Amino acid sequence: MSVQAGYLRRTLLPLLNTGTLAWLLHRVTGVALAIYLLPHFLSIHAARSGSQALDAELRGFATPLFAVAEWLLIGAVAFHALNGLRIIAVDLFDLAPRQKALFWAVLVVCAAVFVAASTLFVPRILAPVG
Amino acid sequence: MSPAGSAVASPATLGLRPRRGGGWGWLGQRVSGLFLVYALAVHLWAVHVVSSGRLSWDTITARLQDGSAWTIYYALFVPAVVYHAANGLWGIFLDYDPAPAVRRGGLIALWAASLALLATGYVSIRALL
Repeated sequence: MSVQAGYLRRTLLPLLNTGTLAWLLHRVTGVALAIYLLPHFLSIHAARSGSQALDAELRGFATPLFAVAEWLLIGAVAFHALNGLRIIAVDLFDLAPRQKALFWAVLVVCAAVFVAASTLFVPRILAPVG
Repeated sequence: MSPAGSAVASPATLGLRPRRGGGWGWLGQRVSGLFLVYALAVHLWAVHVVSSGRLSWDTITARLQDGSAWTIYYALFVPAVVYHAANGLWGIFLDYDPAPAVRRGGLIALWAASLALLATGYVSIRALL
């Protein structure tokens, strides 16, 4: 195990520069959000069966576990959106020389959004609404 | 990512073949992405802040009938999110340089999933409007 960890540290870690980290995070959050669309659309489909079916479906999401998942979802959306704006800005305004600084700015704003969202989700994690 | 740093680490040195440059998919991803920054901010604000902790049929239908242009919003939001997801996954798929038959299968699967999502989204929101 330690041999493998050492191998990974020596071979993969040097590959992880700022650009690659941004690319990887954008891809991982993008795939996660795309996959999330399927259960999300299927669950709101309960609306077709009327108010009671939808309310039963929504009550099922009022658990601490879903609150954690929704909080992480906000983080994924915030990163993907902000980094997407960074990609567009770098493309349109010739900002390639500043792309690293912009990436750290994206991470700072993303962290701020995540912390701000804690006021919504931490209370639901600790004391879920019934 | 950056042309100068391609000797160090890039998708290419990780064994991937990134698509570069223009095309309608590239433009569409940027236009739909820009719109989604706005649309998702509205969506998440409406669901998690305005309706915080009391999301239900009643609060959703009351919001959708508040006289705002929610019909136009959803008519753009749902196709934009489905397109952006499908186009993004297609780009990732092409990075792995699939064989023609695999590529065709992937395209059919993405189209089928996209049309199913569009139909599901349409009938669900139609029921709430």
